[in-house]
Amino acid sequence: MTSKEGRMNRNERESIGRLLKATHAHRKEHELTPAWRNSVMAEASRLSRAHTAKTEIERLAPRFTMAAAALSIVALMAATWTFGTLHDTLMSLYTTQALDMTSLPWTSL
Amino acid sequence: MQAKAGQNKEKMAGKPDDITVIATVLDGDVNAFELLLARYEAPVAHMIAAHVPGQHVTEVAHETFIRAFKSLSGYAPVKPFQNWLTTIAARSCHDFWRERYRRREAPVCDLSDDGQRFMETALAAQSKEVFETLARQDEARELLALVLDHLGPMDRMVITMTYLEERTARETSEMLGISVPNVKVRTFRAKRKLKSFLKRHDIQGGSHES
Repeated sequence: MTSKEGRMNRNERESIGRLLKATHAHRKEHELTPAWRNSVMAEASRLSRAHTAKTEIERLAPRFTMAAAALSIVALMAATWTFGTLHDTLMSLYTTQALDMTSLPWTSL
Repeated sequence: MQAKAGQNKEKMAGKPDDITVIATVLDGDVNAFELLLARYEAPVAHMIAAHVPGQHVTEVAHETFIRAFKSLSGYAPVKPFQNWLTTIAARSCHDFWRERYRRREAPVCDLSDDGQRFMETALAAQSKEVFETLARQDEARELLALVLDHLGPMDRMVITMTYLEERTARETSEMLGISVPNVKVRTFRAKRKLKSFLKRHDIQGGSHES
């Protein structure tokens, strides 16, 4: 039925199309088994549990943030206090050392 | 349609509708999801079987329902749940082919002499009954698979929906998440490829009207 130039006419294309459509329409049906359903449900339950755990962490997240912030403030205050007194301690140490060093030549005399 | 009729029957029998079931699942009762599975597994399997080989229907159906479960909170009841689920199924089928084409190492085979002979016989069938019988044979399925294998994953999905299933461009575009002009362009391109494939094998058609 192909014409001499090798071109298909409309009827031929329609016939081929009809064959493909008929083949597609007669495809085998697929029955899903109870085992398949169980496997889907098992995965859904697993996902749900993971989701619950995740939301629990998300629910507690602001508390974790608050605790971390409080800890940081305490650490900062301790550091400020330590550095403040550290300066005084160092100064008194240097002064003591300087006095010792200057008093040493007098004692040797 | 079948699922919808079933749902109406269930409603009459006092079973909850889809929206109620979804709300129950979202409230944390995972077991309620089984009701949706029971309602829609048949139409979903039917739809998937039209796009992927038989031995992969179960895994794609599994993937579809798990995706639906994960995005259940995103379902807006502006369209029926089955339509929403079908869209997910269509996209799962597309992903299946994308993955499959990505893994494909050997080039797509050409039509064998037997295949060509079968096609000639089918197209030369004089009665509709003979033609229908031939269309049910494994050779016909192999032939269809071979023809579709010459198309890319998205073109394959588009041609199956618009040409083989005769869905509208709008319906196809909604299911695959692409624009209507894109569907039209892809259909045109896929048909042209199909024609050149048939021409290359000098396939001859025939009348098979009863």
